[in-house]
Amino acid sequence: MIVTMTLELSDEPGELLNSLQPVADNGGNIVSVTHQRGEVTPRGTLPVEITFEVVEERLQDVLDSLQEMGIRVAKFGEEKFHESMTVVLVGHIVRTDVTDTIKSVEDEGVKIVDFSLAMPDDADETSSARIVVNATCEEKLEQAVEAIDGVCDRKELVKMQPIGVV
Amino acid sequence: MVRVALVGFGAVGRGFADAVLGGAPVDVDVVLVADSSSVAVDGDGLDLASVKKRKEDEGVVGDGEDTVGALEEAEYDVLVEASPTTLGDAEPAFGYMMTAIDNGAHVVTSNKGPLAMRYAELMEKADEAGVEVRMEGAVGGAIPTINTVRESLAGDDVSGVRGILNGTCNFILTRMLEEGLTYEHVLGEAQDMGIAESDPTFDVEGIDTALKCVILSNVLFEGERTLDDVDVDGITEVTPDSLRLARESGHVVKLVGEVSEDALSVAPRLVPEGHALDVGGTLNVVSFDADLAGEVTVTGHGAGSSETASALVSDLTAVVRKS
Repeated sequence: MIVTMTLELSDEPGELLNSLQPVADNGGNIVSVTHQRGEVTPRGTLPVEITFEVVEERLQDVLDSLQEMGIRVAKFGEEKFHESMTVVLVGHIVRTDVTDTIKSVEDEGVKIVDFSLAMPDDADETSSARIVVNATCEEKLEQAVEAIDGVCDRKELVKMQPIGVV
Repeated sequence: MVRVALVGFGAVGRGFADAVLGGAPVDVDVVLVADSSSVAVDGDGLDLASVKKRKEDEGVVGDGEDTVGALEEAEYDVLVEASPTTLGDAEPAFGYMMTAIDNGAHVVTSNKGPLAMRYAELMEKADEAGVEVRMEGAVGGAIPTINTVRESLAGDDVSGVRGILNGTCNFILTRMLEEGLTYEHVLGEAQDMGIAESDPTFDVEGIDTALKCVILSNVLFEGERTLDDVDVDGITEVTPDSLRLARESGHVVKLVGEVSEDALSVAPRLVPEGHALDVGGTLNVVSFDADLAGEVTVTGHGAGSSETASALVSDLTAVVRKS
């Protein structure tokens, strides 16, 4: 299963790395880590959103370890993502509004958890991007694929999706 | 002794002639050879070495000019059709095949045009005449694809096929990834090496792969699909950055054709590294999804004159052994 949670970390060196250790210890795989620089909770801690893949039976162990380490889990399991897909796009991704592209795909139960962009030196040439889309279930993932198709048609982007996804 | 009419005397046709000269598993008499402008006929069997020599020296294979007329009149058991693929009405190859079938001959071909554009018409005619049309050389060269479906997996329900069916595209994508080079740069290299044609449109726009997918679909689902039914995207827009981003997530980018009852598509796709479809260079690979056998994958060199000749001789041998 894919889990997204927000951790509250103290502003100390190594704290982020420590907080990810329980995931690795339980055979999990980190999908993304999002840290909004400058954002501080009223408790003076730094909120960091992590998304990871782990077998359901080991999730409680991850949560227990975090608790033992004194790391507070502020938000957890708002959406449980069971499906994940990587898509690579080529085209004028920046010129056609990246924020709009993300918004067009994201929906209830569909979240873009990674967006890596490679820009060419020459602005007239096409750029490339890799996005990771998480979805709560298969239907939501199919819905995301359709949404991506729509965006690609509208913005004349080339889409490369994994084999097996029609 | 099987009497063969050989139409098409380019790289594939000459490859077939070489295979026959080198000794085929069955005794072959080639009684007719035609290229795009000339035809030679000898009911007692042509001397293929002299026909090759004349083609090299004079650019023709014989003194005749009317290939259709010769195919109507000559006596032969099998037409080996290896002329260049044309789209649209798939002529003149389609007409050659129909003429041969009228003449009671089986057809063995590597020509994608008639099979992708007018499959239903061709098969109806062959059924009426009680002759076979074999086409292993049209999809994946020497790799057993069509015959895997028709014969090896005849007891299975094959629900889909997925594969890399164009060596030129696979070479370009492999090299772009390995060297971080642009599409244009690698295309130039491939042209210098003779891997890509001077006009590469047919390959790089995905049309060649699409034709092969149509043929596989027609064989699998006894359908009447044509090129117009395929969603086709080629590799011309692929960037070195996109290949790098894909690799960082554990994928390679391949031009993949997918065939199933509801889908027919050709597009650059993400293939997990180490997957059966992750083959490099000019290799082709085809994976069949069969209900009893499970996933069956075959790989090898899909193009080239000797590879395609191998498929033609194999089909010819099968026809002879059956009759």
